[in-house]
Amino acid sequence: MRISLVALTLSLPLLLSARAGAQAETQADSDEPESAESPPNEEEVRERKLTRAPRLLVESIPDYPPDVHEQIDATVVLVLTIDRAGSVVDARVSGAPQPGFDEAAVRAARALLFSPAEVDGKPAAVRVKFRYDFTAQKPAASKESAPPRKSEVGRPERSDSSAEDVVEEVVIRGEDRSRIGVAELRPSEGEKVAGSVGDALNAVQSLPGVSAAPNGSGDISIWGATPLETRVYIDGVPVPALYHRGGYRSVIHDGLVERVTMIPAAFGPEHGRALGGMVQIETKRTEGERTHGQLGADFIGAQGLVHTEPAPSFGAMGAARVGYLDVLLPQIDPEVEQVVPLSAYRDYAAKVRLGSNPARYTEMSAFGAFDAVERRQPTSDPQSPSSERTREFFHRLTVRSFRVSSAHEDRWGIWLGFDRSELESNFSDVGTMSTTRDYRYGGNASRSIFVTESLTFTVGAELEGQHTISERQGTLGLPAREGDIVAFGQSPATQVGFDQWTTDILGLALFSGADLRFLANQLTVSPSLRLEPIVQMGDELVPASNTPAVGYSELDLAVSPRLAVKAEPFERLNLQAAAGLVHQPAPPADRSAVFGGTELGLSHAVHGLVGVVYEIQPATSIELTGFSKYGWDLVVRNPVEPPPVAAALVNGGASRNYGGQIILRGKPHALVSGWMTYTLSKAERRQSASSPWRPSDFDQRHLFTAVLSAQLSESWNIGARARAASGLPRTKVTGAYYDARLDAYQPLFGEHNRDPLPLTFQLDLHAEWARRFAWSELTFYLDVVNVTNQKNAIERTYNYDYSQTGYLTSLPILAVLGGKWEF
Amino acid sequence: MRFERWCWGAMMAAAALGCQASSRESRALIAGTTVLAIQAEPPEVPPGSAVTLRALVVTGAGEIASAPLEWALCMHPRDVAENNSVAPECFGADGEQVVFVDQASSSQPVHTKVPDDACAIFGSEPLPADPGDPPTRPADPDATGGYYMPIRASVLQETSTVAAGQVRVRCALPAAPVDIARDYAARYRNNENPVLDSLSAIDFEGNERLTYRPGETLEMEASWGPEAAEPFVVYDAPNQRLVEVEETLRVSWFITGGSVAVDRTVADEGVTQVRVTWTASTERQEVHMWAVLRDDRGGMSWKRLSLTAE
Repeated sequence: MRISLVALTLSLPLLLSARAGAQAETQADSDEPESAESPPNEEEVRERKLTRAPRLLVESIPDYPPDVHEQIDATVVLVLTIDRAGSVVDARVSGAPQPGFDEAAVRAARALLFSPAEVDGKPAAVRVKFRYDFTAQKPAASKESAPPRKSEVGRPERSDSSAEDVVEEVVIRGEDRSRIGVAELRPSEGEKVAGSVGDALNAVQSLPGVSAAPNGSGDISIWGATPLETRVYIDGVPVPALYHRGGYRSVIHDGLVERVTMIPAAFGPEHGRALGGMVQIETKRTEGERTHGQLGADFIGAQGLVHTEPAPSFGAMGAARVGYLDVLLPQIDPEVEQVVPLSAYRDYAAKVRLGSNPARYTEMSAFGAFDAVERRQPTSDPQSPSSERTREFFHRLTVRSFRVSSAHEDRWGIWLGFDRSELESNFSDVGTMSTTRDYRYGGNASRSIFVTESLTFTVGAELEGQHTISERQGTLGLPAREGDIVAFGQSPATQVGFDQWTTDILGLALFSGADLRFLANQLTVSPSLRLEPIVQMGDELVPASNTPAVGYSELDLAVSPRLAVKAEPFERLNLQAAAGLVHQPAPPADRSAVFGGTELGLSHAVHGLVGVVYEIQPATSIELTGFSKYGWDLVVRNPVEPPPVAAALVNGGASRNYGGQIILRGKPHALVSGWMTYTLSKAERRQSASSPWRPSDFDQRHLFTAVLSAQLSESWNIGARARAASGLPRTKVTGAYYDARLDAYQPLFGEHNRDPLPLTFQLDLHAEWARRFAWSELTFYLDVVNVTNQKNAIERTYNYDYSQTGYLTSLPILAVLGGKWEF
Repeated sequence: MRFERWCWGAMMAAAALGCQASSRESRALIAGTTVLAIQAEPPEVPPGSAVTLRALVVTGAGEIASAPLEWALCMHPRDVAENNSVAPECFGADGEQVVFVDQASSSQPVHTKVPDDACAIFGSEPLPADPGDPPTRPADPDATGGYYMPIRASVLQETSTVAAGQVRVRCALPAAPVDIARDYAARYRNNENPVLDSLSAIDFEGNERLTYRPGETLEMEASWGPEAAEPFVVYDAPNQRLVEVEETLRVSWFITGGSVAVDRTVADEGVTQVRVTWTASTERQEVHMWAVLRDDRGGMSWKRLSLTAE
């Protein structure tokens, strides 16, 4: 469990919250509980050897007992009897009774599943000690899973099993998921992070190395990568974004989410197509003892969730949210929508589970999100206001299955999706129109084979395809790409183009990997390889004119060798290093013969990570990480002036991101927890091999975050978050000229991205009050954002002739009050 | 206060737009030396044609007739993704990207010729590529189907003032079926400068005024003939057809004193005069006003009006 503790605390530090962590502490003896055979004598026992220890395959973490109101930590040690198939057939409390905790632990333990132990090479029943650590939290805290990583070796407690069982020292080893740099977040933790304003997934923006794009898009940047280089998955299915427009709500109800994992680099072989980072959202398994749900609302929107399990083999849950800022705010000020992009967002999710066995079940899910933003901004000419209208939505339908046995673990899934986006804008009488319809599909299958205690072998395949129909009319420089030099508020070029094009991108990845453990499992080496032929096709090689369009297709083979090494030379010290190649095809939007390029190949990057984690004491640790990413063949504007036909974009760019990160997490008091992280990094880009390196648009040299949370009483929880970050690079305006045709001043620029915005600082506070009633719970929260009313610059602004500058500042002090009722 | 409420709205929306200090600074008020307009006559020509260039150079004291003005043609095309209308290389210190035309006083017109290869550099007719090389991407036209050759006008004073004018160059219609391209060539009419007939100040009683009282509010009225907004055809690429449209006219207002309600006024279709409210300052001074009438194909003309304080 310490492993997942590492991942857990890494993500959300101190939170008192959900730490119903499981920890296998001591293992035991062989046992044959299902038979009533008499136990072997001690001599027999000593003669037989445990040749394979049980491995934890399926986690099961208990809720914090709702009827325990003292908010205390507790540890329950269980003696589990595991049968030959790996199921827990008996769970007994060892030690002094702890009402509430004991029952919760026993109930959860019965859902654990292990790989069968072997004695003298044959499956055998065993008995193990297993420990659950309960951490104080409010009663309705969500579940949290965490498998044991390694346990202490113990002498047998009992040897009353069948003749073939053996009593011997046992080491239980679960899935070691800890990876340097990887951060996990659970909604029960995220909702307590100050500044989350009613959506636990907003806390992702507080994770180490993560910064939010400052344009209200809701995009995030991880370790200086561009948002387009970061992929977001929900239950293994790619989705366009993590957040709705504006970034104040995620695209899926946080009450359905089990965990969010942020992988900034060096992915495993099952992942590809992302040069930067990856955010994975895993929804909860639909299980529970009763029907429950929640209703909630705040100033931003309302939400509802319901979860039911009418039969053990069938569970279902669904949730929906709707935003009404676009309705409320104009009531306060009718002109607000002229200047603020108010998203009329909606999202939904539904999930059905078939199968009662946690080791064998199938899920069907449907989810989607919708955003509509309409805004008009006044200009000096009242008859020509700038306007923008966007409508975006996506839908996903997926079926996936999970099966685990003593010998292997199988996963498969298929999914279908449809995305649509529409944009209409008019800035300075330059109209832009863009429509995209994206039919998406995919599937994956993998098998992990537990060959021996020291070897796990994984093989799998992943299919992903998309058929995209695009239409665009407007100026080529809008929207701006990374590397474009623009001044905030600058009018777009008046030159406009038009194109309609269709693209298909299809990739089938085959991957395999192995976990090789040496030196009594103190050293793990995980080599892997991912091979992905990617076909990219289009209907238009060059702009269609008076001749029929000629299509094209090209096949690229993405070869991605990867290697991860973990070592634990001492009990509390964990060393890790990882490296690998990743590849990413150009998005369909870039494959226009007019606006982009039709001969775009894959972009590539090599990731390297090295890190160390030292657990100072339980729940307190320090992690140091060094990282480097080098990308090449990135899609950039063609530096040739003018470019060839159908080559406005080319694979000519390069990037280099490198830096270090320190994370300190701890729990100075039983009810107080927190974490601090500081990332020092440099993200640079260049347009071509002959161009000089310059700071990336997303370069954020210093990034510091501190989070603190405290459970004051049964009802009250408070928290604070402080964040300081370097300003993003901007290009200085050194002068301007008057364009007499357009009647507008236009800027002249200095050195590219060498004029960063000022350092930003933000302090947020959070207070939450919860009251449990007989069958429900009521929670109110108050988030106060930017308590110090810091005027953080998020853009540099200019007057009409660029002779004066100012700043567009982020949110002043803001209080958001919300509540939810859970039943 | 209104603005602050917007900011609060932005906060509550958590929309990350934040608050911006108001930039509603009037651009109509002239302080230093400023180029307000550059006119090419004719405003649209095929490559190789002669054009006459004029500039309107003013200061807070009125129109300048004797400011030394250097004219140059910029021969560097803008990047296809560049937001600016003119390549920044045209304003570099080295001068390699410009062709000197003439130096004259600001009141004098200069004469030049649009280069023969203007459509290759700035338009839809790039030069054939070398054997083995891919063809060059033609420039995109503006929404009216136009291509423009930039002109640089620099006022050579202690503080250099630089402006760019643009001559619309008649180039072939690219990326269109042959029959449409032929039809376009036959039907398209080159642009002509719209003529601003008059600029006057009118009080509430409808009287034209050449004087004002400090603090008084008058209406500035610019008027032109119905022929100023010319019809022309433009290629509708999404529907692959030619569309007959009429130019949109807009008036930019400039003043050396007082304030105007708006800096620019767009004329609705068929309208031949527009007004803007001008409020005199409390100071007694001679106030100069200019109205610059522009069509959306690069044509323009202007008028000046001077008012003295009563």
